[in-house]
Amino acid sequence: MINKFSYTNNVIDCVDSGVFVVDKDFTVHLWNDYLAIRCQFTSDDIVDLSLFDCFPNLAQKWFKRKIKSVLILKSPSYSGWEQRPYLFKFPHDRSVTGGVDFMYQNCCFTPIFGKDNNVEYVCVTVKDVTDIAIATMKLKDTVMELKRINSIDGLTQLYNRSHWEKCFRNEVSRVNRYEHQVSLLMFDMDFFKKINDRYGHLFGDEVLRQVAIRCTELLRLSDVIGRYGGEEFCVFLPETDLIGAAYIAEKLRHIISDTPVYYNSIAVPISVSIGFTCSSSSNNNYENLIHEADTALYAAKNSGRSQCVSFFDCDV
Amino acid sequence: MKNSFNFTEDQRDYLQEICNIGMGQAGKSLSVLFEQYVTLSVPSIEIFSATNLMSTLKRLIPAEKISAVRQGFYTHVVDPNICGESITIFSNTDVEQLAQLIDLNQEVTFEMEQEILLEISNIINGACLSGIAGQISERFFNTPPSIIGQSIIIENLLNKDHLIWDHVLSIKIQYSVEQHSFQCDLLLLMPDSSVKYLQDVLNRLFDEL
Repeated sequence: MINKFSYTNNVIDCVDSGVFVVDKDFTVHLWNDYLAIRCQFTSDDIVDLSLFDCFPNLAQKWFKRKIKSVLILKSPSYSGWEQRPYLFKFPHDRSVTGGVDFMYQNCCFTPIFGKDNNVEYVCVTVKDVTDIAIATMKLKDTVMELKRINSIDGLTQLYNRSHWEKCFRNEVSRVNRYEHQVSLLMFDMDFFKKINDRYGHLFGDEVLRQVAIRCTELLRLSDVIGRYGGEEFCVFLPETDLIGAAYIAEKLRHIISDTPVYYNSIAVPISVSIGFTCSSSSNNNYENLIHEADTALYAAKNSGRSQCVSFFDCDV
Repeated sequence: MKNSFNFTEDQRDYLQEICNIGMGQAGKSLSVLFEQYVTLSVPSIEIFSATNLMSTLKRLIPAEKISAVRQGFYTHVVDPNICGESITIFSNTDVEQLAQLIDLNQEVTFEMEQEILLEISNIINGACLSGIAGQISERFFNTPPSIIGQSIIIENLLNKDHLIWDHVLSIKIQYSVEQHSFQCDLLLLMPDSSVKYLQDVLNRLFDEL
């Protein structure tokens, strides 16, 4: 292919990407203006020198691997900013608004064939994708934040009901698959309406927040607590049998009710009723377990509140 | 379009032959690159319709969770052209093993896992396409690889609600590397619109025999 256009060599300097060519020994054979104005080497400086001598900080092993695959397979290789942010640490045009201190780059390594159909050189292009990178990273952050908001109850910062239900469903199916055990606790603040009526809803909110903090302090990392609705909370305890559940339930009841919540300087006592159950071969599905814990919770309420009741001690 | 999609027996045999030889060469260059013996299965060629998409994919890739990388390939001929996609599918793959394959002996981070998947996919895909291209005296151009997903179910491999093709030609190649418990599948997929070109090429080559 003979190119009749006599300015082809200048064109390479007009390209709005970095373009350079190396041979199998990593000696530079071409270096365009785009690269020259972003580092200390002009084409005259760097051509015929080793790329690694000029850029000692280059990821050598990685670069060699890329070139090797192009030489052997005779087909291009690529690198993307998401996995490897840059080839050369160049400045970029968003020095003020970008919030990042280097140019994100996508690179392409393309074979240049000699007469005998062997790869004689490898052409590397360096494309500035800083704008895309910044936008993508922003989008990722936003998606993460939306996911978080979507799963959290704004008042207590515990999981909200729908997210907690999803977690519990997963846990129940895992328990079924591997024949493990899970316990479930449901609890409800005693006389919460009275607290709201007497001290106002803002104080009621504060009580719920305090309860959430106390529970979170006590529970193990693997236990999953959520706000089920109003003043009702739910916790599932993976790998925990009925005895363990009774123990945790009692500890929860104490940590919640042992300390009052203060309204200005008035100590307002709070208490909680807890119903709990544990999975077994006969009840092991989501609806059954919820129903059992609920039944036990009502039994706790009916027998005078401020206590923990196991489903297996209920008269059904 | 649908009628032209039926390959004659000659065309099919010839395509199979081309793929077989192409894969032999791809295996050779992969073995040189990875410095160990790479085995490629005999390519299995089939045509399936959009309506059978999911059942076919599940049969071709019978794994619960997969990681997949895609790449486009095309020729410089505009009309009719080949514009296909290759999908490299890793199922039950140990990334540490993959890392060793390209001489990475450090701890594998999430970004590195992606880089490894992309790199291996590009290598496998490049070797295969140049193997086939060599046989039909064509040159394929690639687009950069991108990750479809890691540990996804096969249903999420593509947007099955918005298919813009009726039939797809699929060439499936299985890879395994001797010293590693590493196996992956490459699917070369070409929609209706690309098959005309392939048929023309096959006819031309067949006439030259």
